[in-house]
Amino acid sequence: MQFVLFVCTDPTGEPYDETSDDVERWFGVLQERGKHLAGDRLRPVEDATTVRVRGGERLVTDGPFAETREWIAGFDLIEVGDLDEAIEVAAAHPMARFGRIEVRPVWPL
Amino acid sequence: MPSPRTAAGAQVPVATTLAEVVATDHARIMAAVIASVTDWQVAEDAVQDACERALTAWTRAGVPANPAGWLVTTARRRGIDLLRRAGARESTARRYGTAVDRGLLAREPEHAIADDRLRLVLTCAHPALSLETRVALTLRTVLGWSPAEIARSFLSTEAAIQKRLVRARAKIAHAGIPYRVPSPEDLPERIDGVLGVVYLVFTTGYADPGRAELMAEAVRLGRLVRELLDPDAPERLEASGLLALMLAQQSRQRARVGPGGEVVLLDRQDRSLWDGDAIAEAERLVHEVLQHAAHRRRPVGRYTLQAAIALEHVRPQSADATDWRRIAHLHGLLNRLDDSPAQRIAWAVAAGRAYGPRRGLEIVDGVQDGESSYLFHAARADLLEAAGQPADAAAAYARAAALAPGDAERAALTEKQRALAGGSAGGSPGGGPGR
Repeated sequence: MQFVLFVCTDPTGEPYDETSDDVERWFGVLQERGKHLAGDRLRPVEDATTVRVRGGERLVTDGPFAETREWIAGFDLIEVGDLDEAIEVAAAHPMARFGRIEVRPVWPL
Repeated sequence: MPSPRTAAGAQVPVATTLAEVVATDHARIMAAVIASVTDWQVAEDAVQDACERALTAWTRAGVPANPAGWLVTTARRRGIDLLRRAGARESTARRYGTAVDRGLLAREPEHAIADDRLRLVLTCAHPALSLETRVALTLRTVLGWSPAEIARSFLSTEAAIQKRLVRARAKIAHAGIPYRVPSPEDLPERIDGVLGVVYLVFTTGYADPGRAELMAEAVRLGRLVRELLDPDAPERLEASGLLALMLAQQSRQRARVGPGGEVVLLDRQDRSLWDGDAIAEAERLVHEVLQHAAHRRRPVGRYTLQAAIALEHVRPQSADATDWRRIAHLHGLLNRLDDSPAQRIAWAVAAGRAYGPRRGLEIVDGVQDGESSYLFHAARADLLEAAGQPADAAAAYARAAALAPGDAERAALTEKQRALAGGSAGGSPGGGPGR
């Protein structure tokens, strides 16, 4: 099953600590459980652009759709057996401590 | 309590037999059918259908030798049929999702109905489901309650419960919640989640005499969970501890509730009404857990400690003979596992009885954010009164009364405040707000 892990900031997260930001270890856990299909960091919300089309008219605005203190800082598309494995992979991600990870199953067309 | 819907006109004995089979074997039946068809909604619909067919078939040809096995076989066939049809129509294929897509239609030999109840219980209490959903799904799937029965006990509507159950089954399919027993490392945490569901069912019944039947059902569920765990596994200890706790609390039910439905406090209860068998069983369970834990050097969990405390309250012949030192000691151990305000307040009350109000005050002053809790102020007031500080006690009673959730509590606290303000400066032996 494919899941997208949305890596989010979270005001309740532990303070960021560079020495324990060990993405390599996370990648190891993921490799044991399944596959990494895609993923990266995302530029901050200041660099976001929102696009809407209403009544045939294109509306382009600066920033994200909703102003929040929590935003998506990155994403990973992974392939694992089931939700328990996805949870295990998400829990091993350093940003699960500094922020939070939202686990969403891919819904294929 | 659980009953399958009975078709009008069916002969009573067959319907009764069916109801009994469903009541005792619902978990076994559902577990076996889910193992074959994977999709929970298909399994639910198929078992419902098998129950309806059973009424006709058993009336015509007699009740089979193995009624639960008959239901499983019939439901499996029906389930596989439903999945095939769903596969043929795309719209339903989406609803019944994954099983068809992933070709998981495992066909198990019909004679082998393995005991899959542990993974059933664990999946119903999966942390990816909300607590309310876990409770509803467990009552429906494991114990065989109807949505209407769940709605009555949890003050909801049948439609709302039905919707919650359908959503839960859809989430299991779509989110990829696995139907399996987790690894030994993850099992204790997941069993703790199951025990949380069991205890929530129990406390809902304990808190409301009108829903007392929930206590018996929680005990039944607690027994089942304990029975399904390996006797040597560490997680079994807390399952035993929880069963003991529920038995010890339930043992006082007949004495705990007065004729008008009002709660009778522990020291005023008629002890001859207590259920001695339940207390004896709880004692055996706690003894077993403590021995096992000591022998294997395993920590004693919070349910076992709470059970031990409950038993200290019911063991003595009279309330005066209560061993407060032992209770305070057990509360101290419990506090290391759970420093919630309610636990700490109970510890302070016990320590106040055991070692004097000063010790109780030290403990109660460590309650996190106690200012907004009426129990905090009420316990403090009792301890201050016992410590011979009537003015401070009166002020604390006033604060407790202002925060009290109900009229009865408020009136009792105001009365204590007035008695102190009335002038007597002599400290009376303080009592706790315990039940």
